Amino acid sequence: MALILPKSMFLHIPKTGGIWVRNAIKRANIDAFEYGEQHSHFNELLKYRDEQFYKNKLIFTFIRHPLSWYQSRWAFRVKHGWSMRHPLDFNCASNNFCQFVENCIEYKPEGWVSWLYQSFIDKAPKDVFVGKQENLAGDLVNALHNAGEAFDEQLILGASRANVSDMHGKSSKDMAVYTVDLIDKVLDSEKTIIDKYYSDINPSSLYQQYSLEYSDVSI
Amino acid sequence: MKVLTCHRPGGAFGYISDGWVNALLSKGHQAHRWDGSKESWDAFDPDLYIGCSGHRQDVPKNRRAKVAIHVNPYGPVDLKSINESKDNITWVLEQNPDAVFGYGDEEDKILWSFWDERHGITWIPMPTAADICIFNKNLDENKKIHDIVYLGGRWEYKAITMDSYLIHALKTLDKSFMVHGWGDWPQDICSGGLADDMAADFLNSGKIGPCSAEKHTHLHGIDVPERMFKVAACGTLIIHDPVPAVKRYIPSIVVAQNPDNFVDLCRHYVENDGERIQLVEKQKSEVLAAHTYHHRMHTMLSSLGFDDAATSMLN
Repeated sequence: MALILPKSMFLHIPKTGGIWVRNAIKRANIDAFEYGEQHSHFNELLKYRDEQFYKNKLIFTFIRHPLSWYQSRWAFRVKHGWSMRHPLDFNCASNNFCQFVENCIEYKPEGWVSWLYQSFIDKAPKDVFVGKQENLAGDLVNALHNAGEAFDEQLILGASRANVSDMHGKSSKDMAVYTVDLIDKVLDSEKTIIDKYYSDINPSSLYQQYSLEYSDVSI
Repeated sequence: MKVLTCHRPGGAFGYISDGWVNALLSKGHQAHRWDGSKESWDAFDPDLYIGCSGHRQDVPKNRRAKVAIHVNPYGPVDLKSINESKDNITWVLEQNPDAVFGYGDEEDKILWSFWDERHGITWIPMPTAADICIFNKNLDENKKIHDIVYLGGRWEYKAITMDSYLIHALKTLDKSFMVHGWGDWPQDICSGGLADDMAADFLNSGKIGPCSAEKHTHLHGIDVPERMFKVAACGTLIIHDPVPAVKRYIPSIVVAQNPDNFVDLCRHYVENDGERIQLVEKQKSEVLAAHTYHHRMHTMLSSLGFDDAATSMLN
């Protein structure tokens, strides 16, 4: 569900740290209530209140780099099971990470993650504060300050991690390792969102971070 | 080549292992069920023994034969009761097998990965397949006396998914159906058991053969029942309930996303003969090209280094 706060609202894009955001907001004792489905777009929220209700609220959401989004999405589904009602799973499911990503690119050549993020960010009636999962706590504090919410910053910064796809002590990054070739394919396919939000990242650092060929991380 | 397989249990493993034996025999190899005695082992002197963690037979420690054992998943993903039990893992390790195998594809390796990672035992992907020594019928529209045919068991665990898909469809559709099977079926649906030697003709007698999988298969895409391969090999259209990645086996398979979609697809293909016939031919050719127990034995034998015997399976 979207989380409605006194002066802001949080749209939860799947697999971007939204459970942590909810927990941190609760921990910071900010009055908040849920509307709609867990991953509602803005337009779906209009079923509950008209646009006027949301007019003065800052809208914020979180994204993460598409390379780590695919890792997290895959690990979550391998651990909890695929959902064939979801189009991505119906068309792309594979218990092999690289095959899953290949399937996603074939299914949505213009980038599933780009499409997903845009469907949340671009459908909102005004500018959205876009925080990054890579700086989750810091960006949440910034979003809440920008909105003018009253809260204790330290309670947010001290919130523990949540919903991590851990399997026998291995994180999604350990389980889901890219080839260099596949990294290039994702960067190309997800160009829209990467150019907009992650243009400052040097691709060679991504090879280092995500590819087995550049690290000693093994499954 | 001489192959022993474990004793024949009832249930799915019995039919699947019949498929391996039939495939081997059809290519001139010797294949027998093993009664578990040292004397019969020594008398037969196998090159390979194929066992099963769920139907244990202790194999001789001093042996010439290579040993491959069917095992359940054992990896970083907690599949609850689907994962291999500790007791079975211990037993498998005591047999010192040359390889283990399971009902998954190469893509599913991660779910069995601890066999190799922790114990250095190679895992061979061995999904189910079609036993074409028994199930190989041409599409003959004159023999399509039912709209829908289904053959299989139903009990509590299977009912979790079957009731939402297959039984929902049979009750919703105004189409003729014939169901044979065992277990706990509603009396107004199932016409009782069927002799094994009638199974192929029965599967051939329907326009469509809806296929149902268990809950863990819906979630994880492993343990896909052999039904879909048999139905296609018998010239009948497969319509499967939602199994992830099932198209990797049969690209032209018809897969439903939800119960209502399953009903709609069944209706559509019963009512549109032209489309159905075209797809049946495609599904069958995809099964015969890569998913018979001859192919599975080829995979196993080549993985174990029996190269000539492996080649013979596909010639």
